[in-house]
Amino acid sequence: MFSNIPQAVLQKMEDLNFSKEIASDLSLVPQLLSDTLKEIKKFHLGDKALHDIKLSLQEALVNAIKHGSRLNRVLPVRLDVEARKDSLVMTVTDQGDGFDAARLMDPTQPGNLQRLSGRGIFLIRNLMDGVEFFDGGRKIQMVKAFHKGAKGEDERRKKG
Amino acid sequence: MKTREEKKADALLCVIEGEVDINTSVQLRKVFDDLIKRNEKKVLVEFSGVEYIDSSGLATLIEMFQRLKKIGGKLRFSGMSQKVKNAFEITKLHKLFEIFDSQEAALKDF
Repeated sequence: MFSNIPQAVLQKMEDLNFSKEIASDLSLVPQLLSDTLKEIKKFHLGDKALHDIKLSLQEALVNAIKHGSRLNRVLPVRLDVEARKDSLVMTVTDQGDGFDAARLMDPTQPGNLQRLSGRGIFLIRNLMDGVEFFDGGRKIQMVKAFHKGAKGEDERRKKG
Repeated sequence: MKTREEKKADALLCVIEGEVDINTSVQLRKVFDDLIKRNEKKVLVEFSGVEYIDSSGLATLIEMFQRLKKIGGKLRFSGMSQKVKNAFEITKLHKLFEIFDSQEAALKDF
């Protein structure tokens, strides 16, 4: 079931859990992403899965800084990455006022197609295998499954 | 992110390389501002050097599409990798934009 994850990596997964915190400053996101991706590459995921994770983390961090912290540098944004047996769980937490994820518009509706915002969480929901919000929207938890049949896995396998 | 421009008959080819995200899309918007000021009405954006685009990058392209439409212009894209095209397909923006496999095909369509 977890054939794409080497056994040695599976055994050491717990050692790869990590947390990072940054000030709410958009210019700090590229470095945080680069450091995080370097760690996540140790899981030997395919290119497509890494791309999905990078884009989802980027969108979640930008949302937390822009809409959560409202660009107030003083408020920290935290990223936690936890390796489970069958998946990678990434959580972004901000200290803002929160929001109601159920009320987000569907950017693919014809009337919304040319809107200049509102695609971040929609992208995350499509790229990840699970997305949940906690603490009134201040915390987003994103899950990328390792197993076959996970979203994007078929395409990844087809491409070899 | 880097950009360069090249005149192709009456069209303007804008080649983007690198990552188009919330930080670099500010720079891309400036490039587009300049094209609008110069009254370029047929703009082809070459994506083969683009590794990654986020929702801010998509929004910058939508804005350019709207500005060109207002002045009777056209925006075309070419050379997208499947990873980049995926963001357009998820958000259904591939239905809004004209996306071509090659520059030649896109230029022929203007």
